[in-house]
Amino acid sequence: MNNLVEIVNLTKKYGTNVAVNHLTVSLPKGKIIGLLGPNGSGKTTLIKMLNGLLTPTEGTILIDGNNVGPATKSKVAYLPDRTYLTMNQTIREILDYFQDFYADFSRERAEEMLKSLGIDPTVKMRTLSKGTKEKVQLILVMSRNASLYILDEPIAGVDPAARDYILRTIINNYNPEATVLISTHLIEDVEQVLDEVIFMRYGQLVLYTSVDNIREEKGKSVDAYFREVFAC
Amino acid sequence: MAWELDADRPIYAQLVERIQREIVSGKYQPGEKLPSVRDLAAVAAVNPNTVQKAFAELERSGLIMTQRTSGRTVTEDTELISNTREKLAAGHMRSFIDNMQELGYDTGEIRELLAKMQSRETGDSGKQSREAENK
Amino acid sequence: MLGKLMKYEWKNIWRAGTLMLLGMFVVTVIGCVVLRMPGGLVTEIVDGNDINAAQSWFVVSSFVATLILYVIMLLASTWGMLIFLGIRFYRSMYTDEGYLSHTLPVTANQLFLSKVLVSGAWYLFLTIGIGISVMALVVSLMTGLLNVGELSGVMTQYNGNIWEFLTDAFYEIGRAYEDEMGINLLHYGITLLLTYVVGPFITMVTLFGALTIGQLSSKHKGFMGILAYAGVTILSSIIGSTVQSAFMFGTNVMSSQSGISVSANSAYDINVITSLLLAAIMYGVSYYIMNKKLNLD
Repeated sequence: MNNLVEIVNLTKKYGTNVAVNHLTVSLPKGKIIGLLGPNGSGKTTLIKMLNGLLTPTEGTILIDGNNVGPATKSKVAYLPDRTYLTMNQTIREILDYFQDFYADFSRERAEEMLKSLGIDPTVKMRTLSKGTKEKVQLILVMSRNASLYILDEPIAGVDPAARDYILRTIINNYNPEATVLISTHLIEDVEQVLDEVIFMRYGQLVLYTSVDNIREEKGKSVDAYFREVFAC
Repeated sequence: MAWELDADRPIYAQLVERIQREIVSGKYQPGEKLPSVRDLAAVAAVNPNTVQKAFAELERSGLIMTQRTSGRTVTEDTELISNTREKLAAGHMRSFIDNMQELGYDTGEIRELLAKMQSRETGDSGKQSREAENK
Repeated sequence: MLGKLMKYEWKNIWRAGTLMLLGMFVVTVIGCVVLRMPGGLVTEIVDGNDINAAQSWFVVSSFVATLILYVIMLLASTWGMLIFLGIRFYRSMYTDEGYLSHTLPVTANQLFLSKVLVSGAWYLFLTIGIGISVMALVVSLMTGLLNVGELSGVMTQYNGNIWEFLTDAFYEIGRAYEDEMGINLLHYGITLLLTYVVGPFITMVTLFGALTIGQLSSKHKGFMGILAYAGVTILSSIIGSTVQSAFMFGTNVMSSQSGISVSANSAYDINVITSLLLAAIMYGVSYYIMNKKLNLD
């Protein structure tokens, strides 16, 4: 009963194409959960619906007992797979913005993390490299004391050092009451930070289990097991 | 650097082994304070819940204790530590002997091989020290 | 939250808006100077001074050029502002930036309203700016001409007070308007003011609503939004003129003067009501789409 997210019969259709197909799943509190699946399996569609960027065709989503709306948005910290910041703003202006809108935003934490990376908060976003922009965005998201963090492909296309930084930032800022949902197709790289994994295919749930279960019962890594399950 | 972990075994079990090893080898002294879950998770780059699980496992075995004020410490029961050490050593010995027997060595031959290897190693180090003296 | 949204919306718009108003000010000042020149030219002629052809050609051509430039400037600034505000709305709502806007802990209604109010306010500033600018130009042309010959006699009547003259002139025009066409000037004035003040906000609701309607399309959403705007604008002017002419036609049938008066005023009122109604519909449609059909790429 201590579930943070309750998804029931969730469906999203684009015309005749069904992106998410009658998905029912509950996410508990206090876990780091991997949302895994091949491209086009409905991961991003699901994430967008959790954030209210897409309206479901059918079904319900409850986050902490609320329908998706201002109440859930104040508790969900979302890192999309793109840059959503305004390029002609300085980092400081963006910090002001987050501080103004999100009551759970810790400005000190954000400034500390920016400082440790040597990022000058007075510069405009457009002057930063792609990798730094992504890090700034991650810092903003992880500086919130949210109940649910949703990270869409946070380590896609980054070098190993950046990947380590990202995973470490997630671990460092994670609080035991919160749940982190990480969507990725690079399972091997995130496997050791996950508690549980959700496998999705064709918009449906294939498997929802813990990483230790897979390793104990199958005697192989989640990555290897994933390849086996989704082998064509 | 993130810890190197095997891909095919539960992570918490590997953490347990690693911390055990560090305790019996003396890296963590009896009564010494252990890093917090969060710190260890960050160092190893693993999930904090997994670290928590590993600590719980170690607590059950009595090797570490939770102090109400100062976090987790290594037990001061040195006997338990040396017992654990022996148990771990016995495990390694067992698998070593099993492997050797698979290769067809009997216990006598294994002992001979060990003695030979040991003398070669001391011989090597003796030669090195003599060379050093000559210089 | 609405206040916070409006604050940031304002921060994003005020620079460009102020720049546009400043530009208009500069053009107006230049215009005022140039439009006084014909007056000077005529004075020279009246005074019997010789003017060479080149001089008069210069005055006339710069006068015409200024008028043309001025009209272009007016069109460019209204359209420029409209395009600027439209792009800003679209970018912040329906592109990558929309991922942040729509995940803020605010309702879609607050989001939409904040943009309509702030953008509408700037569009209102622009229309006020245009009003003042046109007025300044008219006054400047008049003061140029009214100092000359027979017309100057009119001015001496007012002790050279151009404002008093203009007030009287407008009053005369108004009375003639009222007598001849049977329009209640006060009523008309209120309607006009209402249109003037509310109009920019209606324009924004229509524009933003149309861009939101474009989101229903699965491809070329921006283009579809522009198309929707064109469609709605054309539709509203057709409805507006149909309703208006229906009422105007009615006035011919009625012969009594009071009847005409009521009908002519009603025609304008109906026009205002139609556009208000249209704005309400656009608002409702946007609300529905943002809450039920939101579909960010």
